[in-house]
Amino acid sequence: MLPAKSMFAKSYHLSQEAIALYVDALKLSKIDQLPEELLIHVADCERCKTEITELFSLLDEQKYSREEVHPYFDKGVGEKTRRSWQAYRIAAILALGIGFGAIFYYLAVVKVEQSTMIPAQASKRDEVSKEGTSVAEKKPERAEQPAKELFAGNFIESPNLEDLVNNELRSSEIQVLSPLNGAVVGKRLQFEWRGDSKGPFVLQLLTNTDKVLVSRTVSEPRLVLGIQLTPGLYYWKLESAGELSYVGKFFVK
Amino acid sequence: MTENDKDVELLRTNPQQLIVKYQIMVEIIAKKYVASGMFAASDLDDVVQSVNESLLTKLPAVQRLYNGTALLKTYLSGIIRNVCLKLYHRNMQGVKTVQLDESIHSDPDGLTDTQLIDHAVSRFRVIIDLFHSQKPRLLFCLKLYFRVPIAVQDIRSLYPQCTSTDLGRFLGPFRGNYERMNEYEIYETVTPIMNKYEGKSNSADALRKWTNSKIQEIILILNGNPPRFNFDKETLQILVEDHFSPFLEKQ
Repeated sequence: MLPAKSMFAKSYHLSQEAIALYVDALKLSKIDQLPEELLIHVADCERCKTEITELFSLLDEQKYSREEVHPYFDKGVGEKTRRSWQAYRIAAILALGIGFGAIFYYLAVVKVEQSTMIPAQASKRDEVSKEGTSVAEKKPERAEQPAKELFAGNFIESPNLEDLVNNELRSSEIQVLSPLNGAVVGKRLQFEWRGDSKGPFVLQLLTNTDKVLVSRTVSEPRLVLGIQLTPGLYYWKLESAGELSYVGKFFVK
Repeated sequence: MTENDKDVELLRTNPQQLIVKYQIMVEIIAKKYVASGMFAASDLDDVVQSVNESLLTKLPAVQRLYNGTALLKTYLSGIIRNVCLKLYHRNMQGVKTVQLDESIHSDPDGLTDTQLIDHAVSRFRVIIDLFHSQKPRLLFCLKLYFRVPIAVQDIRSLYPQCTSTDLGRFLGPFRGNYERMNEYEIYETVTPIMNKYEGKSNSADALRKWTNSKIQEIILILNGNPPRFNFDKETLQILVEDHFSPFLEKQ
């Protein structure tokens, strides 16, 4: 919409087009839609009133249809129509976007979560006897709660170390006095053995995930560790003269 | 595409064709000015030809100045009118101004009495509308000036917040026939009440002068530019009474 100022000529009276616009307003009964400045000026200006009246009289018998869109009075209608179409388009795009987003979320997140759920019966490899060449792998059931899962995991056997536990090593002359294989130990952790070897010995304490918790070099065939272990399965290695002499395991409950 | 859109497109692409399209409008306006006495009837063709030649030279200016606010047909009509006026002023010496009543009988394209009256009524109503916010006050003062009985609607449209007491004060002396009241009495009665609702302190004489100046203005505009009619206060009274006839209360 043009500003009202542009409707005035340099003479401070209505421009030719503003006079035509006023006549349009009279013909279409839309005076109230004219700019207030225009109306106020004309109300007080004899010259502009005369021009408008003269032009109106010339067009007295001309029909002006209110159905036809006027470039000034119905400009808002056209714009509103255009704006509402734009709004519909934006709404449609948003709706499509939300729809696709929801589908994507369902497929990508919900479906994946369902597929990663481990079934109650885990898959197993064939279990071999104690003298056997392979070790059975057991995959524990996934606990419903993460805390339970973690606790159970502490007791999972280490495939590497289990092999060593079950195999006879060079040091068949070493006789372990404490802890016995598979024993459940208390708070006091005492390692003791006897054998032909004089020492020094390297003793390592490991978790079931092969993580070395303690590594000590001792000259005597015993070691007492004053550490508090969380419940789980643990392994210990004994080396002498650079060679692995013994691998054992015990439980802490 | 509206009719106006087509005209605008024609103005841009083929303005000469636009003039051809509006030949009818050129002839209608030229005939009206011939009928009003601005031009002799025998000069009609010359007037049309001169207008067309002038329009052709003005086309570049029209293309530049028209900004699409008003309908192009109205805008062009205004330009055609201005061209006719210039032509009239240029040829004034050679043109006899014919009295309105003579032109009616001598020119077959002129207006009949009924058409003249309708035309005058239409012009008067347009002029009153052009006063915009002053219209209710103007109509009230015109009624008082021409001693037309005042109706409740007159006061309500002028002062919607008017109390029933003041309504009675307005209507009391002016409801019926008050032709015997002089100007002084009339304005002395209404001015205090009008000042109350307008928040002003005008004198009765100021209201009288204002009313007279508006009447003069209306008559001037009714008579046209250039003056083609002979309206005066008497003929204006007829128009005012005709305008208010639906509002006159039965006595």
